[in-house]
Amino acid sequence: MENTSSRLVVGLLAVLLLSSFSVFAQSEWKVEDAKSKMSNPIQADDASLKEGKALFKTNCITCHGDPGKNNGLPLVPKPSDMANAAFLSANSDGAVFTKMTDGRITMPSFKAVLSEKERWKIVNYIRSFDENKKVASTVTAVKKEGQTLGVPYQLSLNYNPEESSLVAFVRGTLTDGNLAPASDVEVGFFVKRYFGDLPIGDRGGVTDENGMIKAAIPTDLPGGEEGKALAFAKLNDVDTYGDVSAKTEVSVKAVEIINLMDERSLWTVSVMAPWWLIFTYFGILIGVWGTLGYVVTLLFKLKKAGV
Amino acid sequence: MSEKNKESKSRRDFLKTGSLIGLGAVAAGAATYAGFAYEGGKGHPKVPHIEDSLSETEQKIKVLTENGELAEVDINSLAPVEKDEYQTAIQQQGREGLAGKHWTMVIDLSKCRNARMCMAACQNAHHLREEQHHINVLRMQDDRNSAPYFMPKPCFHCDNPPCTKVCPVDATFKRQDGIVLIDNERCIGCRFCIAACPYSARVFNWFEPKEVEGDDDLLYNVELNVPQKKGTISKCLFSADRLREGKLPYCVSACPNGVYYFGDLNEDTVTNGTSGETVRFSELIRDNAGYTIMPELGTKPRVYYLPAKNRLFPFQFEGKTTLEDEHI
Amino acid sequence: MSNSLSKEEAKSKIDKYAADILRPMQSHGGLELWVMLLALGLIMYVFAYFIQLRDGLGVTAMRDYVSWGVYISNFVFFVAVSLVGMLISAVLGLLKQDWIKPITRVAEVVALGFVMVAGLVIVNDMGRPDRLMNVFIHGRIQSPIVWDITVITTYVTISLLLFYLPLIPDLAFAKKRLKNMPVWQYHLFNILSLGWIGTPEQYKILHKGIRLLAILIIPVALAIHTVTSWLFAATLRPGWDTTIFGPYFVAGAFVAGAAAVVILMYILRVNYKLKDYFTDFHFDKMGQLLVLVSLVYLYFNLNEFLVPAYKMKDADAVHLHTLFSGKYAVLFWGVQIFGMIIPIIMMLFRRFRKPAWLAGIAVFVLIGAWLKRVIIVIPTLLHPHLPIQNVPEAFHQYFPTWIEVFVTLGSFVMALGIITALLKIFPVIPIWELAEEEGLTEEFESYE
Repeated sequence: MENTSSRLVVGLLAVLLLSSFSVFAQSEWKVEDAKSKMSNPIQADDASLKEGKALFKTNCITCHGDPGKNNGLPLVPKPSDMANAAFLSANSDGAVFTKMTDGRITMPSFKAVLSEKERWKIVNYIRSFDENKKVASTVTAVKKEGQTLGVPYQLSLNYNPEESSLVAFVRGTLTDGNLAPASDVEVGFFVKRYFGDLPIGDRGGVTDENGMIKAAIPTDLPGGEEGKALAFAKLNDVDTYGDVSAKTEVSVKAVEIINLMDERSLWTVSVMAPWWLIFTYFGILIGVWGTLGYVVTLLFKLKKAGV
Repeated sequence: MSEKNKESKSRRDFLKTGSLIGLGAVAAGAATYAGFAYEGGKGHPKVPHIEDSLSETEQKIKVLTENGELAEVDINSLAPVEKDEYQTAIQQQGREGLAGKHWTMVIDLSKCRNARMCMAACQNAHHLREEQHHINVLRMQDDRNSAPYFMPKPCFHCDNPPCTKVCPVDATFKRQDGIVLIDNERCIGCRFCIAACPYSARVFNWFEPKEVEGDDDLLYNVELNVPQKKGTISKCLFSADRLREGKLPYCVSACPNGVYYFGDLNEDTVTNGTSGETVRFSELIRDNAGYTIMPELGTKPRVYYLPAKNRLFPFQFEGKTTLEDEHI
Repeated sequence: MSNSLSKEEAKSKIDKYAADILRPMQSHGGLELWVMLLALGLIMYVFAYFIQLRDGLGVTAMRDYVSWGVYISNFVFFVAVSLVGMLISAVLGLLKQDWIKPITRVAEVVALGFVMVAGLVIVNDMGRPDRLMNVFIHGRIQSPIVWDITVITTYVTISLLLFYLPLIPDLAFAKKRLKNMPVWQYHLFNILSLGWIGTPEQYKILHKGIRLLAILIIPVALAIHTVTSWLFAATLRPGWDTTIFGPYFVAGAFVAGAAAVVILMYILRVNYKLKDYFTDFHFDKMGQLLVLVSLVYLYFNLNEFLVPAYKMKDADAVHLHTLFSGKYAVLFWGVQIFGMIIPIIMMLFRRFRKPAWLAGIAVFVLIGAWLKRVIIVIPTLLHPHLPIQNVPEAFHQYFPTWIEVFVTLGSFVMALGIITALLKIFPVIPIWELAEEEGLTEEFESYE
């Protein structure tokens, strides 16, 4: 919610600011033939797709949005949706790679940021949305004794305080309505923080054949004075599995919360001035004004002496 | 005036104030639920849930929520609050800050391409004039032979702030969550803090502040410095009003390039305002060689920078890729 | 009392004192013109300050970077000049430099005039003068401004007392001697003289009081200018971030104050016809004093500029280049050469310590002292640690507007107004001290 609204604001501002670029927006971004014809040296296997997806999430998703959802930033020129059929048919692997490498206007150059291999892996991931060249995707539903596993999915979360770990157990619903463990389901583990959810346990992974996945809780993570934090697990692919999550309180590192305002110092508010300053200031003040007061009494004495 | 009369009058006042503030809330994005009972000095001002108010009692009023939607709430769930009382309450909570927090910002220089949306969002939120910058994107070059880069510069909310040290009236002060704020209702305009700040983070209202519609009806919010006041100081507030609502600062959310991370040092966590990605602060700093500006001054800034290496966008300003005597 | 003079001679001497010193209190040649000039200046001031109040401090040339301008420079100058009261009436007095006696009141008047207006100069610089009371309601003792206000208030009080106490016998004397006194003045003198009849007991109490104040004023006066220097030295800015600012400012203050006293002495010598009291000898001594404090100040300047210039730390370098060879070079070298080096060399020679010459030199020194404060305040602000960018061109430089000029002139008008009033209402030279020095106390008191 927050994210979409802020994106909207960003977008609107972006449109205003970047309208000067609109002339470029008219011209199409053509990649020269030779580069366009480069072929992808990286095999589009599960491992590479997974890595490509992770890289896409950290580097591309901000502007291009989730593939297929057309929720990229409204920059000018507008970043294409990476699952857009027109885009995918118009751009060969080599073209996508080149665009990523060189950048143009609002599209940054990733030459220095991502290695060549990493860039090709992202190309693989993007290509996986191409209906025409669909690469075999990972199996998400498990067949069991002729039954299909499907929604609703359930997720239970077990906390093991001794080894400070979490185990998520994912079950899907069989055709007959019974629950069965679901394997190969991507689970993410997080700790709730003030502004967002901090991924823990190596950013999660997929469940094993027993529908389980384990995640270590970073014990050095500060959790206030009690050393507590709210951890939760959730199934990453909301489209397939639905919005499924489970939470539990876990123990992390107890830290002392220092209230800066408890400190007497020169920079803090008046009432918290250092004692030495208070004594010095008022000491001198009383000393000097006391003497002046005495001089004034001398004046009265002077007057008396004249009578 | 009888007790009863008094009460009904204050209720009328409240209704009036409530609608005024409602308008203001949209304009300023401020947490101004006027009229809702303000309970306790710490944490969020308590806002009754709409479900709670759908009790058997009949009298309902419409209030504008923070998101700009109209909500109907039971008037009996609201405690009428006098304008002055409410003002005192927001001043009070503004001076105290959020307990247990120690805000920090991380600015990734490698991602900044001088889009200046942070500056625009900030000026808009704080009703600043065009030349007043709470955050300013500077063109920097550390040495004749080193590469130029863009450096967004907010207030660093130092833990040994030279500015609050010199203030003669406690108008600028540091609160428990580390934010250095300014009370424009108290500032005498001596500008000693401007002189004391080595980072030129402060601005002054040399003239009447920029005219923003609706400002006249707004209650002054010390966490937003709105409405701005002539003859007083203003500066970056880490969007204290937004933090109270659990939202990231205006500039952080406005950045299209993922430059800003913001979070709580006590949680060792920062969140990127663009991607929403949440990471460990200590890891981010460790892995990217994070640093603070001019640590030799001993101000202990709470804004960290990640070096401008592996830039996503090459440095370019007014058609040039180098700087001539801008800084060095 | 021992008395080498005959009774007749003693009496005529006291009569001469009375005639010479009290006469200018009632003969006002040219006073109307002077007062009108001051009034005109005051009107200009009120007008300019009204505009500033109405439109905000934006009517000045100050902006977010150069956020302190001539107002603050002028404030430093005013505090500086006022320090002379302490130097002359306390330090030299306690050191038994008897030649200083006729000058003490002039020095106190200068001190009072300038220090009283200094407070107002600061108010002129405030963005919200309507909130002045906040300093007393919410005063924060960690702030050098609060210390400054404390010590300046204290210094004003001590200076007033140190002006008033030595005035008491003279008030009683003038009350008896002056014929055709306006009624208000007679009543004023009558009340303020506290029934002074010159008993030994009264003299004892008076001496005790003056001595106490003279001792007390030394640390307080050092404090006012040291604290004023801390307004700058307490910051982290190149050019201000230095440890010698306290003594540097104090030394500079003695230069400015001594020069101001020399000028005023010369004016009084001519206008009040006090040649017999502010003699060539006094000017020679004041010249020696001025050259001494100027040499001390020169020494501090050497330290203040040469040491950082030797190292040329990055931030200091930008600042120093501006002063030595940049935008402020003409002003900087002008002040150093015409306001300090040449005056010092000239004043080393006796012939330039003659009244007219010395007064002329003192004018240069005083103008130099004022400009020196501008050099201390403004160039530093033009060179913050981080570059000045994305702001209008006006933010990159500073030159005072006519509003600032008039408000600043107004502060001089007020200081001169106070000085004029004090020197017109009260005797300008402590007659009883001259009498005491000559052993004529008895004659001084015995007039009927």
